[in-house]
Amino acid sequence: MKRHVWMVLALGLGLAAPGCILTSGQVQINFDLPNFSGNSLTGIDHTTIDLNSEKEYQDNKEKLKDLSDLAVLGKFTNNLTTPVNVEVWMTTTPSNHLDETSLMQDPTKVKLWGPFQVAGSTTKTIDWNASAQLFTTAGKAALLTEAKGDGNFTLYAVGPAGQAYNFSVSNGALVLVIDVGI
Amino acid sequence: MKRLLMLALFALLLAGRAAQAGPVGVSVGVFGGLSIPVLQDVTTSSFSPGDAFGATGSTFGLRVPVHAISSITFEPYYAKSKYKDREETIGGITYTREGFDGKSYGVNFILGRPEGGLFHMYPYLGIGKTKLERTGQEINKTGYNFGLGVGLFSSQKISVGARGEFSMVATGDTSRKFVGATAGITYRLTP
Repeated sequence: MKRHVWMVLALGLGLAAPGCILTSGQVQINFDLPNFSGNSLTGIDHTTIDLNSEKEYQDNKEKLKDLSDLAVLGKFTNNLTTPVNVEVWMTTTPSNHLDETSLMQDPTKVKLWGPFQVAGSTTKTIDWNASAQLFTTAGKAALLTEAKGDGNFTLYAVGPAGQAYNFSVSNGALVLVIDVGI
Repeated sequence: MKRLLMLALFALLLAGRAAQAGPVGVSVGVFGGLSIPVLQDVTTSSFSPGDAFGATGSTFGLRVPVHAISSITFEPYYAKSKYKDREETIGGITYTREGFDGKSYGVNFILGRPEGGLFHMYPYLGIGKTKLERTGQEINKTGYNFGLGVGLFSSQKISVGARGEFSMVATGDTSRKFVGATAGITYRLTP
C-alpha cells in the first residue's frame, strides 16, 4: 500500500511541476491580415506583423517552445485569365519593398508558403488542410525564430518570377498554433 | 525507441524467468471507446474550463495480457484512434481543420491481473510509440499512459472490463495529451 502512495505522489508531482511536459498545451493565435494584392506591373503589397500586438502571444511568449501548426487563410482572386501560383514570402526584419525585384534582393527574405494555384478569372478560398501543407521548412524555422525573437516581420504575396500576374487576397489570416509550457 | 526496446526485453526476460517457475497466463482482448484531446489548439483569450477538452474521438485496438509473475501483468497493445475535424470561423470564413489519425503500440505494466469479477480494480502504466497524423502535420514520438481498470464480468475464459486512462505523446519540451475511457473483452488462452 505504501508503495502505491509513493507512485501516486510521484505522478501528482509530475502533473504539478511547472515547465514539465505534462503541464503544457497548444495555443492557437489568429492574425487578421489586411486585404492585399500582387501585380507584376504595378507592384506588390506588404503587411508588417508585430506578434506583440496580440495578447495571446504576449501572454505565452516566454513559455513558447515550438510551432505545431500553421496556416495562411483567405480568399484569393485571380484577376487575369491565366492561372497564377501565389507564394508568400517574409523578410525577417520589417521592410517596405514595392516590387518583386526589390524583395528578392533583400538578404533577410525567406519563402514562407506556397505555391497556391488559382485558375484564371476565379476566386478560391483556401482549405486549412491544404494551406498547412504549403509551408516551407525554412519558412517554419524562420517563423519560429521570429516568434521566439522580436516577433516583428513583413509578409509579401507574389506571383511567379518573370510572369504576368494580378491577384488580390481578402479575408486573410495567419494562424499559428504554438506549443507552450504552462 | 531504444528505451522502449529495453523495456520490452526486460519484460520478456522477467516473463521468461517467471515462466520457469510456473505457468504463464496469456489472454487476448479487444477494446474500444472514447479518447479526448486535452489542452490542444485552444484559444486562450476566450478560454473557459470546458475548452480544455477537444472534440471527442474514438479509439480501438488489441491487448495481450501476459501474466508471468505474481504481482505484475505485462500487456503489449496496439491501438488506433481517430479525432474529429474542427470547424472555426476566421476572418468571416468558416474553415475545417482535420483531426489527427493516431496509431500506437507499446506495453502496459498492470499491478495484478486485469481479469477479474465485478469491481475488481487494477492500476497500470505504460510506454509506447505513438504516431499522430493529419494533413501537413506528423508527430511520431514516445507515448506514456497511466490509468485505472475495473472488472465488470469474469468467467473461466471470458472477462469484461472498463478503463479510464490519461495518455500523452512527448514532443520535446511539451506534449499532446488525451484522456480516454474504453471497454474491452478478453479471452483467456492459458490459465
